[in-house]
Amino acid sequence: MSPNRRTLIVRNILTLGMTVALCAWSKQIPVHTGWQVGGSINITLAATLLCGFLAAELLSHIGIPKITGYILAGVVAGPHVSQFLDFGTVAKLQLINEVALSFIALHAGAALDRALLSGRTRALVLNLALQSLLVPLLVFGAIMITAPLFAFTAQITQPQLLALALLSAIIAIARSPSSAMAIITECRARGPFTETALGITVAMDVLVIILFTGAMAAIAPLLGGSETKGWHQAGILGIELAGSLTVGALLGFAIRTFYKRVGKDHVLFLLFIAFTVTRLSELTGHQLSALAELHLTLEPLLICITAGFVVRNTTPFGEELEEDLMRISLPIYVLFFSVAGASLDLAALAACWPLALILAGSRAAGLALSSWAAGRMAGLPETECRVGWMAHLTQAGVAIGLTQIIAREDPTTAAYLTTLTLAVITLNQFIGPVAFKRALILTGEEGQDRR
Amino acid sequence: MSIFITLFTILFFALLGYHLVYRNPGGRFHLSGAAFLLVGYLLGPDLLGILDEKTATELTPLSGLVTGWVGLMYGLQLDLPFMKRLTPPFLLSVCLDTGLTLLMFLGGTFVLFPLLGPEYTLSLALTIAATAACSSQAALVMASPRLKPTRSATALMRIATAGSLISLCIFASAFFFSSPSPSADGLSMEIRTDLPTILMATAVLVVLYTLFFSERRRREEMILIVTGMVVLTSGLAASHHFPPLLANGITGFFLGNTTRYRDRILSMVIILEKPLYLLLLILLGARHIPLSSALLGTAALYLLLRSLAKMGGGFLISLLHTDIVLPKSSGTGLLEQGGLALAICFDAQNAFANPVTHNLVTAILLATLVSDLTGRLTWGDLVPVREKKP
Repeated sequence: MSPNRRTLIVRNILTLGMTVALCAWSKQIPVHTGWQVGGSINITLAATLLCGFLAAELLSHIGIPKITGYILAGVVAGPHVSQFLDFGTVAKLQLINEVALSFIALHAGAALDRALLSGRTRALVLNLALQSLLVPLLVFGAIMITAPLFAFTAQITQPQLLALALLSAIIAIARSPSSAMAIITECRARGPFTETALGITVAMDVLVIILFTGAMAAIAPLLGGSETKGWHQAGILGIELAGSLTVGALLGFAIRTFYKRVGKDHVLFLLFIAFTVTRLSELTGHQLSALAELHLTLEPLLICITAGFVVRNTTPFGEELEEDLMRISLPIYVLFFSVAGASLDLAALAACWPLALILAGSRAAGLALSSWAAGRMAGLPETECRVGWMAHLTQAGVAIGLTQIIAREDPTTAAYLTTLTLAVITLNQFIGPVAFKRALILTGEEGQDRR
Repeated sequence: MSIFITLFTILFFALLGYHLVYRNPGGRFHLSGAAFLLVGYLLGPDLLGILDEKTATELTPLSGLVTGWVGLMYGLQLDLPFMKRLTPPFLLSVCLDTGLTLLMFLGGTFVLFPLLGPEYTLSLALTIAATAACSSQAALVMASPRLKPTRSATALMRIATAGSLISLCIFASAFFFSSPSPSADGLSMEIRTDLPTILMATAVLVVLYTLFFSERRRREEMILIVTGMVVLTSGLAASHHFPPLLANGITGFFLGNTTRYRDRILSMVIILEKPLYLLLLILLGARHIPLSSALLGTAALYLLLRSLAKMGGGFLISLLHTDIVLPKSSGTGLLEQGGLALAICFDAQNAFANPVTHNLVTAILLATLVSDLTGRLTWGDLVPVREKKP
């Protein structure tokens, strides 16, 4: 290790130590007023940002991606370990976290360049088809065979087991566009492999909703409801999907108009868009629930991805938008993933880790098999065929959202499903970024984005 | 249906606001950033309800960031070269302008407040005086032809900057004499803030900034660090019942004068200055306004008193300032309030959260909107035309 690097590490450790000490000291201050409570939240947030950043810097010296560092810092600060970020504070940071997610989704959409994907249509379609077939198949089989062997699922009835296996299988194809985008940004990756991986990730997050819709309708009788009710729920999900895509496209054109008319200070506008989309999606859901007892919410993630994609591929402002988003992306990534780390349900993992391991393993096997087969059939380079699966391990967001839908239909199955899904997400959030970074290094696309 | 109306109204106003503020800088009729107070009001609980009370609570970290950012920027600007430019005649001008405003406002509040009730405290009186004494430096640049301030405009800008320092000291004193729950005797004086702790925390923060900036970093990383440090400073300040604006200002002052990273930090602060300033205005504007004759009367009284003080101060400066010849109506150039005054309002409404503070801050905001608009109309290129070079 060079002396310069050693000095850097020592300095980072010193800075981290001082920041932690200052924040720990500040937590001892007695709090009486609402303003002081706000101050306490500010300290927590700042500590999350700074310590997450420093921890990621330190871990990057041993080759671990920064996103994993942010998540680890969040886990250590979170309610399951040091309780610096308790459940209440994590809940209070949710709005900011959701705004950050909308912002990241906009970034992911803006990074999807159709021109770079044009020669990869076959690979993209084959990957989507094979992954949505093989991954659910392997996961379904693994759960059906092994679930009765574990105490966690020993008490479950046969129809409930069938529903759990089917829904887990569908949810297994869900991805995390935010994690993928964070890794791509961190590695400054650019090239056909990166674009294909991001394209599959985004498309799969849309596809999972469609497949889930069908699965919900099919298993409605198993969950104690009627088939009509199942199709009713499927219809609502369909409307959500179509509505989100339409609103996203309209938003894309609104952003285009803004960029065309106003030549500067776009950052505030983009933050404003992220906030408005998050808030309006929530308000639409509440209003429709109150008016028509309809559990219909527009999905901010899909709206923002679509908007970014529309700006990138149908207007001349794509590059400019991406640069604007890149400029303030780091604080948003650190905050989002540190809070995500604090929100990770370690209790769920502890409750069902053997089954979660099997599910994660079968999911990875399904991904490896389908990526390899799709790559060979599409004539992709050998390295890409071998490492393609490593880009798709991360999982979050939509997967959790889908489990909430089940909770409205059958709380018992939902309890099992949520615990299991959260446990698998926890595992994949640790392994996924490391694997994706490795894949980018192996394909030689790391550091190719020189803008 | 109302959701769609909301969405389109927001986008429409966002576009309109940007056009009004940035399309024609230097023009006589273009609005100042204060127009964003109206955007905030539109989003607030009275109209669209997007920025309601619950959401505002969830956005607490953003509040610390916006006022802290203004404070850090101001503190960093107070470096030694600036201090050295404060010649005796210049200091006299500052004292005349700011001193007259403070005198009139403190005199007025000392007469009025005991009549209004115990919730009208000394802290509020000092806050109002501090707000009134602030003048915008940016407005002088914006109102100058081709955005190039003339010598007289530059002199007024320096007077405004140095005057703001006195305003901040007055605002700081409001916290030394206040506690979270006001006593029955509103104007009683007792030092409550733990000054040594604040100074010690500031020293640690300066060391942390130094550690962070002592290695070469990418711009995105530096933005993250400055953001984190500003929020941390704001949080520490609020926990000690001290305003984030001042805490960051003090940190910025020490950073600017004791380390070699002033320029690097300042360049990062400038990148997000405008978006965060506009965010401050939106957050400040998002409020319930109980329209009443008392509120409008308070706003009118504030506006009248401040206009008189600033015009009077400007007149005195033109008589006594010897560095450069200033016109008799220089006070019109100091009428616009600027971001610092609004940041003071923002911190005050959080620190002394009660209905009285809410109403007073609302009145100040209404007066600010009027003074910013009239400031532009009366000021424009008045001074550059009349300027006589010595």
